[in-house]
Amino acid sequence: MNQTIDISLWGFIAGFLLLLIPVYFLYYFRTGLVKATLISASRMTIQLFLVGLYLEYLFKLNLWWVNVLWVLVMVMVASYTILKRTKLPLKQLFTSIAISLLFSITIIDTYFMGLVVRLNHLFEARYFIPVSGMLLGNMLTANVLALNSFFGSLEREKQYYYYMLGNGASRSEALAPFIREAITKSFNPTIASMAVMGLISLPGTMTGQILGGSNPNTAIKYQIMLMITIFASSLIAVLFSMWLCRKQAFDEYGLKKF
Amino acid sequence: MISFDNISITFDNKTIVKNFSLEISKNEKFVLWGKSGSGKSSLMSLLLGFHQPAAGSVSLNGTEINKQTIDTIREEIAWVPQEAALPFEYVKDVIAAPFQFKANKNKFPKKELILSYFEQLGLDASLYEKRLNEVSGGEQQRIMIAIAALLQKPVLLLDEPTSALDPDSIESLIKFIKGLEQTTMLAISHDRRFTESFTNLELKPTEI
Repeated sequence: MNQTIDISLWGFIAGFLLLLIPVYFLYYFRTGLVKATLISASRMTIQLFLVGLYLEYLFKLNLWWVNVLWVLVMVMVASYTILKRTKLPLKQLFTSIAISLLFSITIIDTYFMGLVVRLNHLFEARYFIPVSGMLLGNMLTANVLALNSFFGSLEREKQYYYYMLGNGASRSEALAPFIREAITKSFNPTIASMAVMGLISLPGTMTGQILGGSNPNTAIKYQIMLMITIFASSLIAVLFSMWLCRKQAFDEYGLKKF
Repeated sequence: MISFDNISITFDNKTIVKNFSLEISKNEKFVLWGKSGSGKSSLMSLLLGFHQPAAGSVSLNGTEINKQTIDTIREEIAWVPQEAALPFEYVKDVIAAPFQFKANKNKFPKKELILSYFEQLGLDASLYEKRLNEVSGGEQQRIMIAIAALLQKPVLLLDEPTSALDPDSIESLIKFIKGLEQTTMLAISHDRRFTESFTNLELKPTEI
């Protein structure tokens, strides 16, 4: 395979000029989104350049404990982000969320690196860090959707929850419909996107790998494996975090604490 | 059977019930009435473990209600709340719902019994197959009472069971409840006819 052509500074600037079109229309229709767009685009650029810098450094270093430490930091940041986005109390639930992400990523990373890719060193930076990052990103979205749905519908349908408790339901039975709804809401988008993958969307990983010089056949295999891995890890993380949050969020009478 | 012993209830540092005691014996039908804010609903929620007393204790059949006993206590109770927005499409689904719980699993009633309860409460048999949004407020209230009775629990709690009922329906309800011989009932009501048909007590607001 040929080496990918690097993007020159002028090419990069030309790419950025493309932003002028959406920015003009956002301005023309007075959407008030111009500032937000420019800030977001700048943040993305700076963040990704920084990621590029530290990834290069981490790949060069390739020390297993540094890699593990890095993934731990990502777990902490993801847990914090989940609680911020769901507006749930950080102090009470941070540990539960962090444990569930860590639990899921440990199982799935080990399985994927050890059994699927069959790496000699499980914590090899080039695989371990990007794969963990991708899994965590998806776990984050799935958890935000699930926890928002779970606590939101519990609040909206409080009367139904109390009705069940007051008519013989155990706490698990009374929570079951809300857990079911949370799982459905959180995984329907992934299931739908898996079904049309390749038909109406070419997934990012695969495109990236092909542009990066990989054989399309290898790229596709990675993509399929990653989709399955994402699905499994997100489901494990969601179930585990809802189970742990349940313990933290409800008192001995089955009533929500916050 | 139901015993409130020297109960005080507070909400946001405000005492709404103070030193309240009451004994309701087995199979007795009892109605609490009184002004809004006198603590009637709060007393009922103590039995369900939805609120805890600031002082005193509540027991059912000699078992004090606390975090260790609440699960078994709830299994003994059928409760009709004042309002219950239930996410079901059909009346028959609402009826079936509580029978899915492990504690009520073997009690699913035959359709004849359901329809006989419907009849006693002045409900048309065709309601069973109807959508919930085709049913009036009064009919819905009586359906919920029928479900609670079908659960055949030793204790029946009714929170304002007559609020959406016309005088004829209230009459049928009184007769129906009197027929539940093996049930201890505690109800909250503002309806005079309903209240006076059973042992009753006026709850006066605590002046603090």
